[in-house]
Amino acid sequence: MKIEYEQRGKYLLIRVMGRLDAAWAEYFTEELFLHIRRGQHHIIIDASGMVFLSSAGIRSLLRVFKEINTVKGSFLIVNATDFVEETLITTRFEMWLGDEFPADMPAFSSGNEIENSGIEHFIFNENATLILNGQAGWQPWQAIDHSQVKRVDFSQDTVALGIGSSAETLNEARDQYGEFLAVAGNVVYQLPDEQGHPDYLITEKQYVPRMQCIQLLSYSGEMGYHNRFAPTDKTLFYPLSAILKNMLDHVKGKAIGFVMLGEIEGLVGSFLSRSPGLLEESQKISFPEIRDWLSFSGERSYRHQQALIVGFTGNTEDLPGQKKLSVLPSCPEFLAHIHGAVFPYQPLQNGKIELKTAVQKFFNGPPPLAVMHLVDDARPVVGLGESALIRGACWFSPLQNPEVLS
Amino acid sequence: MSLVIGAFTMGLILSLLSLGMLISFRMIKFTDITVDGSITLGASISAVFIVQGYSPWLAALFSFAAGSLAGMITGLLHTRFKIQEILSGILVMTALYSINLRIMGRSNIPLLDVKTVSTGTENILEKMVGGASRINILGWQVPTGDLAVFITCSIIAIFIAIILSCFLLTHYGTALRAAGQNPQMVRAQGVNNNTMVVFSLALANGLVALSGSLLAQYQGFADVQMGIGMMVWGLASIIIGEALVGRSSIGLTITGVILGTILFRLLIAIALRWGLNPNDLKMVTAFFVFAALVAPGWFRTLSKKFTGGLRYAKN
Amino acid sequence: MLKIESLSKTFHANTANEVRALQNVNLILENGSFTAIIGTNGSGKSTLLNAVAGTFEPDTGSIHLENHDITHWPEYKRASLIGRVFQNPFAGTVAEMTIMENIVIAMKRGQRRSLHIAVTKTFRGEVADRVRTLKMGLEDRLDNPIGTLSGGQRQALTLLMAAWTRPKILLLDEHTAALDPKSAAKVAELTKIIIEQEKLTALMVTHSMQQAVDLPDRIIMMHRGNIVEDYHHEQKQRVRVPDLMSTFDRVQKRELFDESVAGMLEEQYI
Ligand SMILES: Nc1ncnc2c1ncn2[C@@H]1O[C@H](COP(=O)(O)OP(=O)(O)O)[C@@H](O)[C@H]1O
Ligand SMILES: [Mg+2]
Repeated sequence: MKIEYEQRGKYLLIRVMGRLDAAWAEYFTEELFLHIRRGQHHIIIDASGMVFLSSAGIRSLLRVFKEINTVKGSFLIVNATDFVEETLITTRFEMWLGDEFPADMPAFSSGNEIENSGIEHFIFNENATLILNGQAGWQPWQAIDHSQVKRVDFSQDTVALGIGSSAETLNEARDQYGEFLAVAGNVVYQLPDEQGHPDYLITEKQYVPRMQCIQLLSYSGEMGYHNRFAPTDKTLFYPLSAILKNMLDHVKGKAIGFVMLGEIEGLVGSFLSRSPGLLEESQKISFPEIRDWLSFSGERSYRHQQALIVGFTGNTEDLPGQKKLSVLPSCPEFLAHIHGAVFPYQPLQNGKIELKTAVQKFFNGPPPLAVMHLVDDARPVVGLGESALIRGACWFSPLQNPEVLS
Repeated sequence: MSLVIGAFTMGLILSLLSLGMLISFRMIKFTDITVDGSITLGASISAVFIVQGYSPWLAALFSFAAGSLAGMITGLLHTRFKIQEILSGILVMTALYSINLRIMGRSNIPLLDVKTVSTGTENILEKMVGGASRINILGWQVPTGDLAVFITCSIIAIFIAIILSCFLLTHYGTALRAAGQNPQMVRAQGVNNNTMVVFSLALANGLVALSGSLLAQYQGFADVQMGIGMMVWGLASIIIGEALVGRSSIGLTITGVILGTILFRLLIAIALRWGLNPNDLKMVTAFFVFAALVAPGWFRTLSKKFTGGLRYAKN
Repeated sequence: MLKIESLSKTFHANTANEVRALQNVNLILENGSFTAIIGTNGSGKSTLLNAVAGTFEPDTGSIHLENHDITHWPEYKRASLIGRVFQNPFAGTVAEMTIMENIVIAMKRGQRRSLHIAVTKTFRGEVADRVRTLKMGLEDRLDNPIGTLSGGQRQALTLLMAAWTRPKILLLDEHTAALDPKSAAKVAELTKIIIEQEKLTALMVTHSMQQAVDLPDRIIMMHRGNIVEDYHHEQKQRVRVPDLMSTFDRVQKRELFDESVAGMLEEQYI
């Protein structure tokens, strides 16, 4: 089988020559998925050279079609040979067949790749702000005082990160405190359990996810700004500090709250491997005991999966004396506190997208892989560097009351 | 005919040497150089005791015990003090040279007109034939004395072969054979394979010394030099024996070794008869063993156990 | 019951090649339990087994088996209480000797080896019956040298021999690793059957996580001479191969967590 690609405006014209059968189906699917991942969401298949289509081939087309559907793209098969046309009609997939190319498709090739604009900027509402609320301020490695544990319900309009447990009672929670983040009525949290599987809670009818939090930064309000970023010839991926800088450049506030969704180039982070609830007394824990309490990713992890990231950032000089943010060593003018959750990859729709729907898709999909507190590993020589994303989206607004972070 | 009987007798006597070496070299897989010293030890001890009027049987028993002690020391040097096997043997063999001189008081003791293990048989034979000094066998005139020695040695060799076969088939003997092939396995099966090595070397050198005792009585002297090259003769005999009958069972192996030793002596007797210079005998034997060790084909399969080179203390 | 307390062993101590093969290992195996040890190469799995078998003396610590303190017993003496199967199918049997003779040797493990003839008629019947349970047709080949059998057959026999005297503990060191996949599966199955039937206490090193999940009722993970994970009881029930993989991963990550990481996290983990 031979596949030829041609960019026609927003459309990717794909000429498939030869047999699309069991032998080639897997290869074909992978090729097309790769293009979808790169942002090609409008696919036209020129089947004039496709001499055979088997059930395996149909299943492959169906997978591509479904993937395209999740990103609201388009999928069309034109110039089908009689055999292919008949096969698709008898298998009730005639809706894929088109008599001609879409009207808005240019007649000639428009260069090899779609034009990636790097960072695209959208403004929903210039005046939108976020309000910080409901804080809990555990710091490592304080013993947990029950009176400081906050029980919080995470409604649709709350975004949060912190350390907490989904247990009902404080006693049960004791050995379960771990990193979490919450967006749009969904919570994903990492039990400090040996197996390392994160768990998650989703708003459903009457049920609202609830956590016992020992550390909590949360805000509610409207996301006024929206960025999309995709790789260009020069920029293959975006380190977090670059994304943070871009966001801060757009707002007039001192500090912002943000949510990001993006394909991972590499995540560097740390998470509790033992619940702080088990601390007998406040103490300084250092090497090597610290290894019993914290796990470190040890590598740039989860490449090509999807990250859901929640955080706070601001300029160092604007936020003096804060305790809840830390300086980014590779970019010391910024302070940040960022948690990231990892989900198996799913493509995002192009253009302007809505936070809640985009996030919901991941919570309704396959289970999350990890939750961590992201760090900027700027150790000389051996440092793993910052977490970075390849392509994705972020939503942000300035914080009305950044002094709460101090 | 007396040549043939002589070769047979010599073969039977040396088959005890070969059987001893079968245990050390083949069964427990220990390259035991002690042999050259312990055969002389057996000869010298018997010579001294017989000259002093002790029973030749008792003298042979003492020889066996002394040889066992020598073997045991070699084994302990190796297992206790972790000395290489060859070196352990060399140390004991070297020490035995002085010890043998000490025992005999000089380098050579003649054994003329003394009672030997075959004296009894000779008396019986003489009674049977009415005092004649020769016996007619199939038309050949055989001296009664030679025949008596032959018969006695046959009985001893067969007796020992049977005992040895039975021993190797017992639980202890089975473990001993296994210990040489796979020391790790026998240790895992609760056998102290160091003990097995020491025991095997004691048994082997006991038999070698017994062979030395009979040799001295047959030749009529004990000489401090008589052990030189004996180890290689033993090896040659074992190789011939295995070529004759293979190694498919204990009984066959032992029979083969005895037959091999006899055949080897016959070949030597023939070679000497044809004019081989006796001084070249040891070189020819060495060459024969060398050929057997390196030659391809059927020799290869027989000899592979000898080409392993040095082995260090197990454990 | 096997009780290992603060067991340590360092090879080539005080040299450039120093290997701390066991570092203060503690382990208790209940009677009738079947435990698998997994871990990366060189993590000390075999060393732990060898310490129990008595191949060397530990630097510190003690080993108790049933009511005996066997810490200083020589290897051959411990064999009265221990059955072993090695990784190498050639290691556990004597190739030149017959199946019968090999079994006879194993049958007398821990007993005085008498001067009675070893292979007798009555005994042959008993052996044939036991060998028949392997379902390999070996009962008709009892007088063949064991070297004529395949690796899988030899390993099955070694297993049978190791279990013959119902040892207090059965030590299996990657005993299916050197076999082809089919024989390995067969021997693994036999292992489970024999251990269950004879109600043996067993400690098995394995390279196969699938085997570790399928066969035993406890999994221990070793890393750099330490036991870093112990899946027991209900934890063992739910553990699957990917869990073991991720645990491996975690253990290795912990390796990368050094003092400089700790310093960095002190600044940034808030
Ligand atoms: N007899 C020995 N002498 C020296 N080093 C040894 C010895 N036995 C094991 N080691 C070393 O101890 C470490 C652990 O080995 P081992 O227990 O065999 O690991 P594994 O977990 O792969 O079985 C390795 O680094 C190995 O090289
Ligand atoms: Mg945090």
